[in-house]
Amino acid sequence: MPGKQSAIQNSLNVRGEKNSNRNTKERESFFRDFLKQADLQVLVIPAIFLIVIFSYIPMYGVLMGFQDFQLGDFPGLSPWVGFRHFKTLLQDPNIPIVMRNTLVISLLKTVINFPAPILFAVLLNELMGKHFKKAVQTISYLPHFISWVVAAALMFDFFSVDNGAVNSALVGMGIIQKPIHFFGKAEYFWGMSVLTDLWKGLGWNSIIYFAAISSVDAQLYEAAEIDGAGRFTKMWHITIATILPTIVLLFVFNIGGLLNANFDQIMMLTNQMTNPLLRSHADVLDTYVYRVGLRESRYSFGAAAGLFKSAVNILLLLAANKIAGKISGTSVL
Amino acid sequence: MKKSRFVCLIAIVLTAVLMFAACRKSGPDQKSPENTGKTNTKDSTDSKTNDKAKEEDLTPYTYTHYYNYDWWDLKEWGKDEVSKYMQKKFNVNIEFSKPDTDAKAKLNTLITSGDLPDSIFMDRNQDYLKMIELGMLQPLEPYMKKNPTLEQNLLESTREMLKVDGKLYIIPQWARSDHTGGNMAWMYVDSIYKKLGSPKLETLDDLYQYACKVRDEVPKTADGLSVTPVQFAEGGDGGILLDAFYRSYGGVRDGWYTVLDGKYKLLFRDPLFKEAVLEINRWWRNGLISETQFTDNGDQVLEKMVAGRNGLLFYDQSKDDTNKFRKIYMQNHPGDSYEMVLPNLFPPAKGLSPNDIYGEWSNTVGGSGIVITKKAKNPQRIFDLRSFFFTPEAAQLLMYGPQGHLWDKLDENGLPILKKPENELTADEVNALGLWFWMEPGFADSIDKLKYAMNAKMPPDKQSWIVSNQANLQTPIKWITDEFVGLTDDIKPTDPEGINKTLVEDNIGEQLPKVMMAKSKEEAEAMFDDILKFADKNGIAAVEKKAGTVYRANVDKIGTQLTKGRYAK
Amino acid sequence: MIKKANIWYTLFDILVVILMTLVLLITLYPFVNSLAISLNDADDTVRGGITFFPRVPTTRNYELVFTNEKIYTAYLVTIGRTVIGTLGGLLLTSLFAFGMAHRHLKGRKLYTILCIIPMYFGGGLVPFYFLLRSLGLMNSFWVYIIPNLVNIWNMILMRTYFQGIPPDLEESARIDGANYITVFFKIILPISTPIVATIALFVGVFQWNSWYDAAMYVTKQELKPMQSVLMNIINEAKFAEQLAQAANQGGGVDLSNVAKGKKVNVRSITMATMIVTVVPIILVYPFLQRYFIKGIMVGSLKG
Repeated sequence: MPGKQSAIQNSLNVRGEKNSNRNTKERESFFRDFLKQADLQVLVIPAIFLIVIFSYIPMYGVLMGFQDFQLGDFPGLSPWVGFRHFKTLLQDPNIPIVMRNTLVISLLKTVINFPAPILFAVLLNELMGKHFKKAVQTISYLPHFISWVVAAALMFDFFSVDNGAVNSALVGMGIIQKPIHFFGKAEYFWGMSVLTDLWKGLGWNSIIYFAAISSVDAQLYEAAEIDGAGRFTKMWHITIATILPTIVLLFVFNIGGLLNANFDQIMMLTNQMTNPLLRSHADVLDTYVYRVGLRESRYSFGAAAGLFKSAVNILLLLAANKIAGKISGTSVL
Repeated sequence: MKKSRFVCLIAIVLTAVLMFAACRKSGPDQKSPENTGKTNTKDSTDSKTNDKAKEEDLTPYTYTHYYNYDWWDLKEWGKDEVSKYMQKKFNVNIEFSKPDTDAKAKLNTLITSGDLPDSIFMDRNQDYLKMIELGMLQPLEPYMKKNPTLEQNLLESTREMLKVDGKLYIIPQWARSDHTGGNMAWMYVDSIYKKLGSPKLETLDDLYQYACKVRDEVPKTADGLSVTPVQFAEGGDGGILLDAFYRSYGGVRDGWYTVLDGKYKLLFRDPLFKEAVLEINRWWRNGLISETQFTDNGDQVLEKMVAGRNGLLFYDQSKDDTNKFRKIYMQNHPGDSYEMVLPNLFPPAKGLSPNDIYGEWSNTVGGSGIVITKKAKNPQRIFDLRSFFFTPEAAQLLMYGPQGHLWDKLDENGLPILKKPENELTADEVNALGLWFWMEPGFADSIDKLKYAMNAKMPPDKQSWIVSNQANLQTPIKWITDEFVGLTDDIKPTDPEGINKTLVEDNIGEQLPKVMMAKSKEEAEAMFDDILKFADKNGIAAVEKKAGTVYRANVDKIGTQLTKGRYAK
Repeated sequence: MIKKANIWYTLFDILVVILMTLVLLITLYPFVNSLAISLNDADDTVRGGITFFPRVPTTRNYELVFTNEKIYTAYLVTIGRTVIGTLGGLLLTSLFAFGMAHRHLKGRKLYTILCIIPMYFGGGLVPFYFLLRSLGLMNSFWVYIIPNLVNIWNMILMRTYFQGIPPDLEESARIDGANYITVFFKIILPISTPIVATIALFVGVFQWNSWYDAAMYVTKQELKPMQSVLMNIINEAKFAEQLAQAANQGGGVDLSNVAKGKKVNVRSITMATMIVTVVPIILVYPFLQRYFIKGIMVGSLKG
């Protein structure tokens, strides 16, 4: 009750009349506060300035998705067609399958490849041997630097039907009779895509968690030890608790990238989409748009597809952010 | 403290780099050979009726040339002997550039921003047509008037075919007037062939029987690795297999289309095509084709080839120069080799005569070429340089270098006498001379003729296997036609027909291999019919109609080569 | 009771060690394999079967890389852009992140929205090309640096980290009269070495591997970074095969006519270029890695 009263009082002047200058006063006070923290703003303004120049000025190109762009046109000045390309995209007979593949692959990666680097970082942190830790951590990110061109070739070798390492081992151990055609059956692709992505990204993606873990206050461990906490309790309540904001942040953005399935990886694993046996499960939004859109110079169609993807992604991001905020108490954004 | 030392190190490196970068920026542009004079504008506007063009040609001229391919390999002009010779002869300097990636995007930026180079090497595709529409390219007629080289070497029909709206805009790459050359061929591993009694391989059925024999009696090589009875070149959409089989049935295909009753139609409407595909499926069901045929990439196929793990091979025999599949095999298996299937390069099927079979074909216009943009200050000079490439003199220069390096004298037939045999040249020697690199444009007639003549000069055991094959076996059955040129020029990818075409062809690429891999004949037939249904449902008829109109116009202009075998009326 | 816990702990340790060794082997093998292929004769590599060691050792693949005259200038360009780009980027991004970490920053919500949108929406290549052109950044070294000074994702990571620092540290300094810049450099930065090292790594690797901006906005050959040159070296080997592929669409072109000049296997060259790219990173990495281990806030609030 008291709060409400003071609010009402604030909107009235000394004589209790409605304060018609309220907005200007608020604006004035905004500027005054702004100037008061000028030395704080100064940290931020140059960056904002750069972002406006390099990210916002060129943004008029977004209009291409609503127009009929032809080679030689200035982007943004082509004839207007509204939502035609979006309709074409959503009515394309292949879209349901493409969307299914995109979502399944992304969700699998969220469930498996997202927690893995966290687990890796936390577990490795537990070990005592400093040199072993450093060695593992250094080597683990090497696959990140192998381009997908080379990585795919390696995968093909490794999983080859024709005396590949995996098949030889499986047959040798008697687990299977005939070699498995790993890259020849569409149903395997989801698993293969997740697996290869895990191998390639585990080390690199764990770096940020290592950095977060090393900011954990050592005193907390000592205090917990005194309180009789066991090892796993310490891991959960200190290590993971401290890096939780980082985890939540990365998780939210992971959800905000659900419609992006790794274009390079999929192109390479399917021989630039020429492998016919995998297409039914490997075609994702990006590869499909590339094949029927950009490769055929249908720029506006490609732009519209990109816009559609971004719009859905950003909605997912905001939704994830809200939910994360409710659960963890702090909003990421 | 280690930290401050590290920071010091960075500061020193930083300073050094900054100084270096600053020095370079203010220095001269790039290593420029002597003749980077300014372009002379007076000669391009004055002269109209000038017989003695020689005085103009001597002024140095520099221009920019752009390759519209992100995988192109740039070489500097004037550094190797071949280009040095041309640089002196024409007194031109060329600055090359190419997109490092995403050629389409880069071209887009060049066009929109107006930063066009003086000449471009590109495909004759929709982008090319669009550039003509936008008025960015120079028509070549004025320059042809002063320099008749191009006219003299190209057939008139070729030039007519190349014209857009009545004007010629491109200097074609790999144009020809004669049927020379050849690529795809059936081959076999000699040791396996001899082991199985060297049976005759005259018809497609002979190949089938032989493959079955390989499957049953030679499951492994001498090294203990598994043998695939029939190995085809890599390709996920099955196009290679189609080339092999459809030809043997006497068919001719242009992409996914063929000619039925004089009309341009989708392949799937051709009952002969259906027979061919079902035959492929029969081979598959009988275990003659590898299960990884459609998923292997080039490297994986190559690995099997150099180990001799196939009974029959259908591959581009000329690739032996690039990936040395045969050379490496022979190196590792002395006395053994890959040999061409004879006497019919494309063994006929079911009782057809070899005369009913069409071999490989090409058009006379090539697929790409050089265009001159409106930005070029002296287009005549560019035209003169590039026209030179069509002459026999140029072919000799491009293949063997100028006089005084690889050769000093010509023999009685006018062929250079090489100081060192071609196949003994090292890569560094070839690069220093610049051989085989500057074929822009390459003119198939002169190059092929010279190539075959030089090869024939050599003693039989020193001749190039590839060139001998091309000269003696493949050229006789090759044929040329222009009736399929430009059929889809009017179908823009953004038109409804274009969208449908992409949709249908994309579907074919995915489903056709599955037809070939069907587990039973009925399943194959059903899937085959599904493909046709999908095509019909998605408007392929409109595409056939549009392309068919252009096809008929072409045939009216230049006639058709489809007159024998199943096309005989 | 303590004994039981110790047994579980030891078992746990053993399990983790096994797991980590597995990870080590799986991630190390491809690298060793690539090294072996790069040191193997190209014609022999084609036969397949190379695992840990080259079968027919040769340094030819590396010769091809290092005898390319463009590579030395390119190396300098890359080192330059990596050092300058990293330092500049770190400075701007971290200050930006530090400012954004304060919840009482006026306009914070607006700034955040301003940052998120470009992460998802962009105008594409051509508008950016025009912008750079009008700013005079085409064909200039600074096109590698200036547009990359602020990376929004890195800013968000740093901001999250800064938000996790107890506010008392900053408050006590500001009560003593320090302005934000002093607080940042004297107080925050020293205890933020993990995140600074991480972002330095991210930005550094980005600059080191960059070639797309050079491809699109730079035509002067002496400004091309090392990756561009390496890619071209691979292209040289791929040239004939790619031309053949393009030719297949043109209605039959005689491939052997263009193939003759090229005599190197693509795979071997690709491996060599990859090793050349990665080795410097591996050499520099330990300098950054120790900051992940150090940097714990100890006893800063005593008294």
